[in-house]
Amino acid sequence: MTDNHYLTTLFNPKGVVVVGASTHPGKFGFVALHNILSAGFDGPIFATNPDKPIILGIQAHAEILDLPQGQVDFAMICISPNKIIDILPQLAQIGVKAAFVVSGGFKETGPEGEYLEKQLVEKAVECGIQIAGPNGQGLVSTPVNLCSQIVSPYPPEGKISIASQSGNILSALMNLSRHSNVGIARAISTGNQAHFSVSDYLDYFCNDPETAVVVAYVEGLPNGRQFYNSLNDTASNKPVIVLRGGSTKSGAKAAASHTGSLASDHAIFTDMVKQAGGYLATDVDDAFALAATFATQPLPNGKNTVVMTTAGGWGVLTADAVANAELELLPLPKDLESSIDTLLPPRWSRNNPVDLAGGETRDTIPDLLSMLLEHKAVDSLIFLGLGIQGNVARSYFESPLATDGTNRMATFHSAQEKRYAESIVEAINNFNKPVLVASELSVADPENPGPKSIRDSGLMCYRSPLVAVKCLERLTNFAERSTTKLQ
Amino acid sequence: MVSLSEFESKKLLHGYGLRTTKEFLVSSPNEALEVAKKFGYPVVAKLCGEGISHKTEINGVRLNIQNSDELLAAIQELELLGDGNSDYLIAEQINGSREFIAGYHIDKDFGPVLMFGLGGIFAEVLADVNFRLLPTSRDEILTMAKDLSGRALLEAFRGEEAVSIQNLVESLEAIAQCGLDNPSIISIDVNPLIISNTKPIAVDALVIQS
Repeated sequence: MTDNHYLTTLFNPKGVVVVGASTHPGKFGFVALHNILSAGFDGPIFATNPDKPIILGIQAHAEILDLPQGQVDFAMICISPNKIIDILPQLAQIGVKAAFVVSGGFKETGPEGEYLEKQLVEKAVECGIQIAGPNGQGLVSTPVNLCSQIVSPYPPEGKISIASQSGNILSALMNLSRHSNVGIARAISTGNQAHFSVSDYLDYFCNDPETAVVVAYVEGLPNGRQFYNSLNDTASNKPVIVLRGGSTKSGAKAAASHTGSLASDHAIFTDMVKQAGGYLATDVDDAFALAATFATQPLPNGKNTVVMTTAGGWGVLTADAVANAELELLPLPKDLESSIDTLLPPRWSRNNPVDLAGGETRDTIPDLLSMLLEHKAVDSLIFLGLGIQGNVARSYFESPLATDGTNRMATFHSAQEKRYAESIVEAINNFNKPVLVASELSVADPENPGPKSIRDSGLMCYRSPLVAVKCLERLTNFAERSTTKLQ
Repeated sequence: MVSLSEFESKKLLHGYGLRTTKEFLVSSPNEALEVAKKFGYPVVAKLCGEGISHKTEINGVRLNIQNSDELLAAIQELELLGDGNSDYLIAEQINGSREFIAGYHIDKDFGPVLMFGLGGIFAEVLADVNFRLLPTSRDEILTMAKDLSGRALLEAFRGEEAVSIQNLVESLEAIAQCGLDNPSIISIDVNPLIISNTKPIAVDALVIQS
């Protein structure tokens, strides 16, 4: 049970204190308090500062022991490293069970810092405080509106949880979350991993009901076997995406044997992730796109994919990508082909990709989408061409030659784009099959009403169909594995 | 680190069910001739002894020896390469156009690991090898083999039948078990593992102990 997990309080505190809150907007102790306040944390918020200033409307306390008993169970610690050990017993006394140490000056600085870090962990364990960090950016937990970090951004709510050995990569993933509007549940920068490593966070996410998809960014693994075991356990429960930094560092293998020389660190790491049932991402974009896919799409029943397009070239490239992936480009069944004939003029592609060839009228796209998804042979669909009409609308709206006619047309185009997007969302819910929408306009013109409406609905609009295909391939693989397990 | 000789390495692995070449360790040309007579030509002669773990690098292997004259000449050449205390391994000649490589080692991060991949002279250039952390299931070992880029080599190839997957998986399991059962072993190399009549056979092997 998650409620009993040793990291439950860290991700679900009832009250927080920023230890070492600052009046200076450039200091960590200010930023942390600011972020906690501005994200609207659900419980009481306190701050400590020896000068007892009022910061952002909060009256800071001089001493931890001045805080009320039992109202705070989480501390965000931003004071000098050598002072932290002394305050842990006081934090424990007022009821703190979990803490994040932002402060640096530990293992990363050398042997003295390493010794201090060891003492920090020993004291924390003695005091019964679960201690994350040190030397990390903090954590985010949207189910309780907690943004306890010394950096931005605060992402929208969602089902993706992240543990990252790099605060910077964590921020990058959260920036992509904000950009795409596919949200985050928990996100933690592991810092020096003095007490808890990525493995511990995976272990928590494994049974966390708020988490549907897990992303782990790792560089060094102090205990590779432990990571494998956690990954294996978590991946048997939900999709886990692993992104690795430092993959080219050649493993200095002492063994003169061939096995040794062929066993570059990364080759074993790659196969280890596969063996554990995780998915190795190629980069941050790939990691986020895949996580967003798992978080927002239903699982397909099989590999049969249909590409629906109003854009010829993209359709061809996508067909190639599907054919090269572990997916099937479904040859259209005869009955489906006949049904499509009733909707489209004869010049349509009569093949998969289903290319409308400009044959769409007002309702064609929503109707065709339903028709395709309704067919039992179709397992998933990739939708291309969203935003083309919105593109025209934009050029009309911005045109120096605008007339009532062009304005009317632009308004119609915009409304149609919105309508297409809504029909896609509706179709996913009605038929419980994945529909991945891809358009470069999601990046090139994010305000285009097509991609924007997809984004507003909380779905990912992929920047390229090739990205969508790669994500669908792994979504399908996960679905197949889950089915095999149930049998 | 202590290397077992090729002969001892194969004997150990054979005990776990790995098919290895039929071979005898001999110390004189006469014994060599006797063994070759028993096997029938062609045979292979190799320098075998402590510290001779890189036979091919010192050119200590003579393949495809067709008759007793060639055998005597080969032994004479090998004698010059050895340290005077070396023995000779006389083995049956194994023919097969597909060479693989299999191994076991203790990885510094992940512990015991099994490896399988393409062997032969391009092995290190292609680096087409897969790994599995041990212990693992038979299914995973199968996936590991079938995930090779050169997986087509497991199918029918150049007039040879497809590789017996069951035999292959059993061979890999044997290597894995040998490593796991002997904590002193830090690495096992089977190279080449040649496919002969659909089945893998270890033609050379090296076990290293801590």
